[in-house]
Amino acid sequence: MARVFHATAGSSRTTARRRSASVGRAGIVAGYLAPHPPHLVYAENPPQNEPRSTGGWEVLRWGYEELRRRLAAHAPDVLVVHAPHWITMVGHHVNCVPNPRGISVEPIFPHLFRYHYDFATDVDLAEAIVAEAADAGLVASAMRDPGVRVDYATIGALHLANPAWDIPVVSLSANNNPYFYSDAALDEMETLGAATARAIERTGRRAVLLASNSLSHLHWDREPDLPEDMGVERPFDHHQYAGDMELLQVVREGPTERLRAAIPKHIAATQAETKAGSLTWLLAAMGWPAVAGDVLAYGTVIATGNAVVEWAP
Amino acid sequence: MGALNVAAAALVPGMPHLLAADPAPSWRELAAATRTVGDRLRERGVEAVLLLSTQWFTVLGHQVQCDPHLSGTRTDENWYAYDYGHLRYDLAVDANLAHAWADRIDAAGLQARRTRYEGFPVDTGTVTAAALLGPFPLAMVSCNLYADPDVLATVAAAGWPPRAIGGWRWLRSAGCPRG
Repeated sequence: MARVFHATAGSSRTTARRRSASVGRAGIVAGYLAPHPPHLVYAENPPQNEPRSTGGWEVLRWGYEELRRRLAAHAPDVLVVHAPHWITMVGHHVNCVPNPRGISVEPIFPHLFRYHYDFATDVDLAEAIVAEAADAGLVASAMRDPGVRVDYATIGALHLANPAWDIPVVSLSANNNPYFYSDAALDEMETLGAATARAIERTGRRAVLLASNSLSHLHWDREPDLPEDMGVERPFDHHQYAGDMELLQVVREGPTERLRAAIPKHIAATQAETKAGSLTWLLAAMGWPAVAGDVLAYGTVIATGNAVVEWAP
Repeated sequence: MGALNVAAAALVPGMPHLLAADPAPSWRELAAATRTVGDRLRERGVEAVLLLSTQWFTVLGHQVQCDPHLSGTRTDENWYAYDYGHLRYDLAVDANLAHAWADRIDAAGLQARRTRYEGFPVDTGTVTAAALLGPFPLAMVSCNLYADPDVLATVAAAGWPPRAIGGWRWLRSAGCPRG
């Protein structure tokens, strides 16, 4: 594999980044809905991923290219990601391993995603989030075991947002279970989001948040011989597509407060992956800002709906 | 080779707590019961175990593990803070049986996905059950979250091999992670 650029929190590069951003404010400067289908990483053929592709899903990947340009302009100290495939049955876990590295062979898509990861965690912020979450009454754990494989939803969103991996990271788990899965826990994500915001404020970080969620989530139960065969890529059905468009219309019109009602409605209509709570966590951390979201791209991946969206108060 | 049929079936838990060095009384009892299942299988001359673990959940088709030898340490993303969150495993897979199972899943009109990748993360349910049952060659299929019960029944039936590849076979399902 190619070498991955590696910056530890507080390294000269991140210090320079903070210095260059010192004219800006600390706090949460932007949030992105950043879906993680491994197909998008596979299609890009980065050196960290073993499988090779002939491309595919270009419109979504163009959206991520725009996200990367905007992210560079925001010059954050840290990327904080909440992802639905680090599934923790008891409480909310935060990755506090200083330098997670290894290979993540994805058990569902091992033919598409065998990714060599090596990145820096902002441990101070990670620990602050654990503390704030616990103080807010949540069950929260600091995960310090380097043997825990980093999941593809965490890696996917982070790679697609910042393939250079030159910004430290904080990674949060999703407290749910594939066999007991509803939107009942969204209230708790409000609490976790608020705790995240307090931790960012307390540590003085300039942060960008990533919600690693797809939208509508019904999908094919079998794959074409060529995974990137765009001739068969389309929405699962019109109902799923229309549900996504209804949600995205609210996103585009703003303000985000309207999404408090729109997200659960969308989940009920489309089995949306936002039921894992990442998007609610993001918007709650941002204080449900009175702005519209900017939809950078929409497309389907094995029929699931995916949108790349920016909220920049 | 023994008679060509399914020798037994069992539902056993896949929670790693059963392997704790200092288990709670209920965990100890469940572990002992699962070991008893393994003893009974050996008494019946079982030659291979067909296994579906609900903790190897997938969404596309039905993945069949085709790597003949799986070894390593499973660090569980939930239970890493405890001794039972770190599980050594060294599993033999009956690759011929696995490929035959995959072929029969395809023949039944479903999509089998043959899985053989270095570093593949074997799930906690599989490791736990295999440790308690004892060393049987395994054939493993994933649990498609979206498959209806009748589809999984078809997958199970496809694992009952024809006479050409047969032997004693036993099918079991590891328990749901919620217990």
